[in-house]
Amino acid sequence: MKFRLLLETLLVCCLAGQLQAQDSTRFRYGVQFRYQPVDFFAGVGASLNQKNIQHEVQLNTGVNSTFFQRRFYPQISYRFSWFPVNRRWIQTGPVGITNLSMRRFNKASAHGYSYEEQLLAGVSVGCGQKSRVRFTIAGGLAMEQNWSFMVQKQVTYFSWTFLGELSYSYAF
Amino acid sequence: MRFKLLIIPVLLLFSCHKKEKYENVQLIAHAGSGLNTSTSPYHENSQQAVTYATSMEGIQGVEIDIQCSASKTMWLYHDEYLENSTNGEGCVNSVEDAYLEGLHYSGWGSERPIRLSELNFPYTERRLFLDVRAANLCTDQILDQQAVIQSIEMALNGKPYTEICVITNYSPWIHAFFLKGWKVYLNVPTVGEYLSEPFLAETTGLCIRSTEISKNQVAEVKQVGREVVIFEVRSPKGIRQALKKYPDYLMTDNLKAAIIEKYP
Repeated sequence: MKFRLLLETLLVCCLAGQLQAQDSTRFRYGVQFRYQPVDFFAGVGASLNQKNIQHEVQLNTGVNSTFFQRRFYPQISYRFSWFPVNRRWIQTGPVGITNLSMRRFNKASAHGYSYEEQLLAGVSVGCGQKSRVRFTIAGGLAMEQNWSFMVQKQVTYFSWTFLGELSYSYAF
Repeated sequence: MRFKLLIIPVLLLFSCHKKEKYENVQLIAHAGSGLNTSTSPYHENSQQAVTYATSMEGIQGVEIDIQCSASKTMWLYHDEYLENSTNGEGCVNSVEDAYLEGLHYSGWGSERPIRLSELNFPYTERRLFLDVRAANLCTDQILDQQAVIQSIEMALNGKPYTEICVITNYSPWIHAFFLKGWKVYLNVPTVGEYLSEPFLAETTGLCIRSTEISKNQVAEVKQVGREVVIFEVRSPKGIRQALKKYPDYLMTDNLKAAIIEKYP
């Protein structure tokens, strides 16, 4: 209950300026499993739906790193979706996703942290109204900040990345 | 009460883990920062991949694949044919430098094949392993080893390296490399084949797939005064298993996962 309240508060705070009519909004909660080149991520999410627009916040964790290597790999994700096709049984349209993640990969070093930021664009297809399954694919830019042992400072590496995500959500 | 019940499995997950020390196992990045792996943001054997790996604390060296072009210049390239991962065609050994200069790796990134002489590498801080290709698969011919040696020397001329480490899977090349004073690692499919190698005494060690060598065999090779380089380790489980064999070098395709396993 506290967790749900926290997520709702977070969403409302983030989107306060965009809330127009309470009766046109709808909260959804769900779980998702996504593949990214660096790891598989699994987590929970909450979304705010306003007509054809959806704002969603997700909290994920890298499965391989967290569960098979005992190294917590959290990721916070915000996604914006627009559904030009928004029928009762199918919703599809473009999505914009931004991910922030962090991992301590070298415990022997005080600088053994890696920070990743990603900005992706893609499409999603959802099925269902109250109970919804959705598949998303997206690609975009990835930035990774590591401490460089060679130059003794934080260095940013740019590259391309993508994700494929399967999610399930339920509207209350 | 429910909260306490939740704590128990979480504690079990994160605490029941025996920490092993692998301080003597050096981590080497395979083909820059990983070969055919999604965990590397850059294409294998590119400058970007090498820079990414060498800047990472916990990675002690980098292995790169080099091939001699028709212009007698060493180029960083892994595959047999150019069409496998670039916009070119043919074999590195069959084309001139001018042709290779115009190529780029396939994919979204801007990486391109580079000459060994162009490689920006911290020679004094990290160890560089050169996996040297002996055959031209387009003509099915073995290359002129002296020309290859000269090309490597020319490429490294003026670089602040302290030693040259070469990996070869063609044993007739061991002797000439050895005479140059280079460290030679023989890439073989089995330990038995390595231990029965006539030029064994001229090698520094063997380079072998993780699945083809056991912990006892690693000890056996070390007993005859040779080093062991284990490669083809990607998954956390595979890395863990390879570390438990205590090789001298672990050539990994998943850098961060290997560092996590080395320093649990």
